Amino acid sequence: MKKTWDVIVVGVRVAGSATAMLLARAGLRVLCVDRSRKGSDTLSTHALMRGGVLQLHKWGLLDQVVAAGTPPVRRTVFHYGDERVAVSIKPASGVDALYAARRTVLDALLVGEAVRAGARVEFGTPVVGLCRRPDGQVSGVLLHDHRTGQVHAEYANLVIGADGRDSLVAREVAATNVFTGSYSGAYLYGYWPGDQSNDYEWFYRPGLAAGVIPTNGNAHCVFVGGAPHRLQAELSRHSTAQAWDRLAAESGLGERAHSADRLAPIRVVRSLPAGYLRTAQGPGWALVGDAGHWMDPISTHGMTSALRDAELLADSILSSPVIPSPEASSFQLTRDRISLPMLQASDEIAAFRWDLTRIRVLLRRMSSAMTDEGEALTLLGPAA
Amino acid sequence: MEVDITMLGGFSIRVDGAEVNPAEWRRKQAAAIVKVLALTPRRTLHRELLIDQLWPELTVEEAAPRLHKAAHYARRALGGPGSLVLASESVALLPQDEVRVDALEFERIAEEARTADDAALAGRAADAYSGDLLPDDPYDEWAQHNRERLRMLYLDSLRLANRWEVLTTVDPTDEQAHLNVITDLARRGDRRAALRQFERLERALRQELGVAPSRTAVGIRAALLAADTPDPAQSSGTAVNAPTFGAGRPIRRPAQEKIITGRADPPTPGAAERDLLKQVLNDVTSGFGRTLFISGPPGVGKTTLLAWLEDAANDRGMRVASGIAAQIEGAWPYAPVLEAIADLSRRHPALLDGLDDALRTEIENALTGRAADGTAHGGQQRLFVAVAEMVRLAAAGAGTVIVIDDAHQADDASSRLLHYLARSTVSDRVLFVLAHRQDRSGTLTDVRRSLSGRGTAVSLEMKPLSYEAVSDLVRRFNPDADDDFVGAVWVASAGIPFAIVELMRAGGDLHTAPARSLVLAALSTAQVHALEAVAILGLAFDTDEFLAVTGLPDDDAYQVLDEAQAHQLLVRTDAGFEFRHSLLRDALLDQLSPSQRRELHRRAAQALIRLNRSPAQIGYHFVQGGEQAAAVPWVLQAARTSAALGAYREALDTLAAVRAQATGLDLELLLSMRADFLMAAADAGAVDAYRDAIAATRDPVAQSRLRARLARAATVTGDLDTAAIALEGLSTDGTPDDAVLLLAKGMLAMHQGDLQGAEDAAAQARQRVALGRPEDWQMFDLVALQGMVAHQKGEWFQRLMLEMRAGVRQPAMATRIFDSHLCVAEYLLYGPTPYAEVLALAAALRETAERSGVLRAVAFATALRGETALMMGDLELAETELREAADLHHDIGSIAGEAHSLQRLAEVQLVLGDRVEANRLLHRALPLARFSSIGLHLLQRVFGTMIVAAQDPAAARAIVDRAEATLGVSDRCRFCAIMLAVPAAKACADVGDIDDAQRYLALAEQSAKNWEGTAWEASMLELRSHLAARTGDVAESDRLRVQAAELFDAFGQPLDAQRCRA
Repeated sequence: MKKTWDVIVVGVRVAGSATAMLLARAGLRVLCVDRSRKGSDTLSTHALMRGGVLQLHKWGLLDQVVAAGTPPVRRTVFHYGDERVAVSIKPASGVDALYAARRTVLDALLVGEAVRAGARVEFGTPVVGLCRRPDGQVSGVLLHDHRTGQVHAEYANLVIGADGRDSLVAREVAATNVFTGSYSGAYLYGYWPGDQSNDYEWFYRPGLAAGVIPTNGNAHCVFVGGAPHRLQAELSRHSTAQAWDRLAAESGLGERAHSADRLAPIRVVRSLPAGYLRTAQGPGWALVGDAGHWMDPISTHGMTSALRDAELLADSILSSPVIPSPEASSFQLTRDRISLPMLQASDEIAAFRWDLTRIRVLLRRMSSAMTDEGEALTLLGPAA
Repeated sequence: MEVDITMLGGFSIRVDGAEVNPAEWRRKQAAAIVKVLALTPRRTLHRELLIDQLWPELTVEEAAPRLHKAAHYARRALGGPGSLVLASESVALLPQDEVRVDALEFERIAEEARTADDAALAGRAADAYSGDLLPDDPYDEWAQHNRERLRMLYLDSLRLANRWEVLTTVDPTDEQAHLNVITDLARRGDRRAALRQFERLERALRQELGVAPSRTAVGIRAALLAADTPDPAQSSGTAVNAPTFGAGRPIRRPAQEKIITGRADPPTPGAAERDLLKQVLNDVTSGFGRTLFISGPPGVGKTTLLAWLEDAANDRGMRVASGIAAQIEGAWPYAPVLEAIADLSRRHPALLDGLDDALRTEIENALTGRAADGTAHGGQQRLFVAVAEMVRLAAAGAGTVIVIDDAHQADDASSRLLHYLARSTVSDRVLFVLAHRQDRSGTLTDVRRSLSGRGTAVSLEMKPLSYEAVSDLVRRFNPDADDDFVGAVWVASAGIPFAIVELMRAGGDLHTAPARSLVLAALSTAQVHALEAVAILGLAFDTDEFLAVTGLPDDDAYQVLDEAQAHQLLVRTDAGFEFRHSLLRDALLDQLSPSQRRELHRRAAQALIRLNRSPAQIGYHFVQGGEQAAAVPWVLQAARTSAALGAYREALDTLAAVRAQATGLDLELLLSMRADFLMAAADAGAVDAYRDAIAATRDPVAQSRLRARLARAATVTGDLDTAAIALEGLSTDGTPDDAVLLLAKGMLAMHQGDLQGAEDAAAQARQRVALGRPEDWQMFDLVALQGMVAHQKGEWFQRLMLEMRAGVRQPAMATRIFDSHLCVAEYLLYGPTPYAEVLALAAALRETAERSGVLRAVAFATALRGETALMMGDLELAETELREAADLHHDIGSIAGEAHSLQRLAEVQLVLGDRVEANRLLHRALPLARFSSIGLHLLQRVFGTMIVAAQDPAAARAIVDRAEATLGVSDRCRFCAIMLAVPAAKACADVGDIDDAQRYLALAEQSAKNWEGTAWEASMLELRSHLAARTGDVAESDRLRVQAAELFDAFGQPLDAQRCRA
């Protein structure tokens, strides 16, 4: 007899494992598969915004994030040129600080919780295709077993693609973009020893931006970025470390993060896609996380979006009369209502064509959209 | 010796049982040494550390003599050379004696209790805490730090000792403490007291932006209410069940009105009104900021219309917030606007994640009246900017709607703030809605006129219902009503929907005034009296206030509240209760005789004192109750808060109300505050006010301080003799007052033509200002003085451009460029810098300054842009910017800038051909220019333009004489002289007075030497051409005119070139 799951989640990074956890907690039979090995790190800005922290709190996971030594961030400092603006995080809805956990901490925590809730998680198991019913509805996934070299099928009422920007699920179902941005930035980032400050700090100079994000292990994740041609110009003439120091100086980071003091190699991120929103669901399938929605890393909002969409999707599935099919379009409607203003603002930010006046307008829009996001999540009430 | 040192709750020392005479501690530094050492382990401190704490701004060498002097007085007080030992390295207090310090004693017990987790011991510690540490030294850093630490320890002790009720009074925002008290009361079955406790929590939380009771708390309250509410229908109408409206006032939704009216909805807004509102919302959504004025008689349905508008805005995803003027009688300045902002941040707390901490603090201080410094000049400016930023943040999504109801009762300060907000958000998705009764003269009308002139105001006047509409409404209540009855209702109600609904609810008795009939019919006389007593407080009140003003036993009081709710006279809010409609409150108050009212005001004042309510409120009720003398101390406090928020006029009004009754020290304080506020409000009466204050003051130190201020005021008005006499014999003494004195001396020297003296005083003042924590106006004065010195020396022009460029990048620089610079900015305008560059630079400078909250600098940059546009011939931009600059300067009381902007605006009107309007503007500018710190520059320009604007040559010539008489010859600015001399020469020539024309030409030529390489060279050519024409040399005149036109063109001034070619 064919074994059938309620839901198969492809990819167990933040969005996938959170969705799996929420659905498993509600009693659904959930299978998670991921092509990578357990516990691997990934490119990330780590930073969670209020909405993300609010969810970890609601799901009862924030204490564990704190226990893992993730430093509380109680203030965000914006540097506009030479001008400094500090914004304290006001305690509200159980959130009195922001956190930027290393992905090794957060991903492991979420996967562990999904398993504890009853989800089955298979690492090192790539999906190579989707199964479909005769009417075209997605009905399962084809998995490659690395031990036997065989391909076998697992069936479910719903397949959730949480498999990132290059999502196989999105490709297979030919999910179209409902919004496509025009710009993407290029970035250098690395880790430095933490100093006294536990603030998120953002630096804006015409054509450049940088950020300092305190994370686990008393380290700061520090990035600097600009338009791709701008970084390319530096990297073609200088070593990565030299380019870092030049850009750090110019962006206002100054001596805060000199290349000589780095804890790990400085990494270069370029050729990123512009932001997008894909169709979020169809017959037998849905997309969460980067698979469905991507914003340039300059927004530092990727993980928060991922957690949010996980909850919106889970909520939509669980409130659907026919579990587990997502309530027709409600997930996508809410996701798009919140994401679109953010995406439009971050697209313009990623163009790096703003001046110090325009960037404030754009950040005000981000802030406003994040307010809507938090309110939408609060309205969902306590999680399943 | 046995020594007891008391530091908690106040400072005193007993030596062997006898108290040291408090007079001994009048020397602050002597007392400070003792205090610092008493708090130090072993009462010994390294000498340098001690100096660092007491005189952080001085070097060790500089401080040494002060230390010795202070030690001397400390020893004298303590009675012996061994009481304070100054060794080479260290300073020790009472090293040989047995000393008990209450603060340390408390600390020891509290720490012990904490370690042992011992509730009883914690109780003992709490008992030992007899007050905050050294409350009379609020600003000393060493005291602040210790005070905060001990206070935290005290709060911990209270928690450990389970003294929750005390904790709620000591730290009113501790929600857990409140909840513990509430739970305890509820367990004992005292739900009323539990709900009252909830109101107290609400009141405390309102002092902070974006903070609301937690979900748990709201849940507990809902449960209490469900059990408490007399009428089950009632609870569904309260805010608890509607979180999106949980703003502390009853919800103005049609749904709730249904409950209230019982049998029928109030009439919904008409189609025309709805269409207008929809159109306004569409405009706002498209990014055009609007201000909507909804006016109409009381009861006509403004509130219902607002509810409809709020729903419509909510449906569009807009963020809605509201405030009501007259919610509380005698509230502080800006109250309704701040209430709306608090409402906004409570509904959308995450918006605060985008608001600069400094700006948030500014709003919170204003919300609580915490701003302490009564003469701070910049408070208002930062508050304006802070509120505007909060509104912009709210608008960044789908837009925001800010409603101010009963706006006719708003204070002038609120109107000014709204005026500023409406102007600064014209390109944001912001709708301000001001609902008000009749359209009267006053600030609100000015605001409306000003905004209408800009095309951003929309007015909606609500009219009483037609006969047909009345008929419909009556028949909704009583379908069988005949035409006679409908007609009678129509007459009795005057078509006011509220009156109709109340009439019908009261059973259709047409012989009494509707609201009153309801009140009288429904309640007993005793109950009516109780409600009258609370109506005097305002539209809203809480249980504590009700109990206190009525003086009723708890049970009786609760019964009145129940009855009043059951009869829908009152509705419950998160924070207490509110009259359902302001007309109901009016009805209660209307039946009081004047003497009854006064009595109730007095009772209210006493009740509010017991409840520790705001001094503004208490003072207000005493004044209204005819007890001015009792009001004095409260009014003084309230006025200080108002002034700190920049509401000088309000502060002065409150002071005036009690002046006749103030005596002794209160009178001294009142008069000196009055003078300071007049000065800050740029009122020429400041000079006399300082004279009055000096006459009433006996303390010589205070007198000296006032004399320096008198000199400042007198200098500004041009009364240099008075200034000189005031300053005679005054010298610096190392106190913070030195900065004021030096600035006054510098200003006087400047105006007396003693450039060196002015420069020296400015340099010294700069040091003092940099050392201390100066009030903003001192900084403004200093920059103005430095600017004038540089101006006079001809150095400022080159520096201004550099400073402006630096200011764009550095906020600290941007904040120092403002109206005092306006006349030097001329050089930029007439000089070689391309206008497009000046425009862009000024725009960038404006943004930087705005973010820093320095509206003077914003206004400066706006004026500069307007002037530039005028030069370029872009009259539309010039008019927009100059009008805004004049308004902004006016709103912030910066009269030099206002005069300057008005004068330029007059020039625009002249080019547009509106001579009448130009003259109107100039006549507004003239008195302002006279009483401004840069009067001698400005007056020449105002008169210069008046000459041009004169009706005919004779009138122009008369103005030349008038200018001459006003200005005198000696005190003109050699740069600005040209601005009067050129038109004066023309005017003289036009009436054939060639001698005088030549004299002015000579003056102009002299001044023109300072303007080489600027468009003034072209003006001089034009002038010579004019004179040549008058003397008959037509060929020469033509030649010069062509030259002038070419030169004007070269400088990019097309309008002037055109004039020469005409």
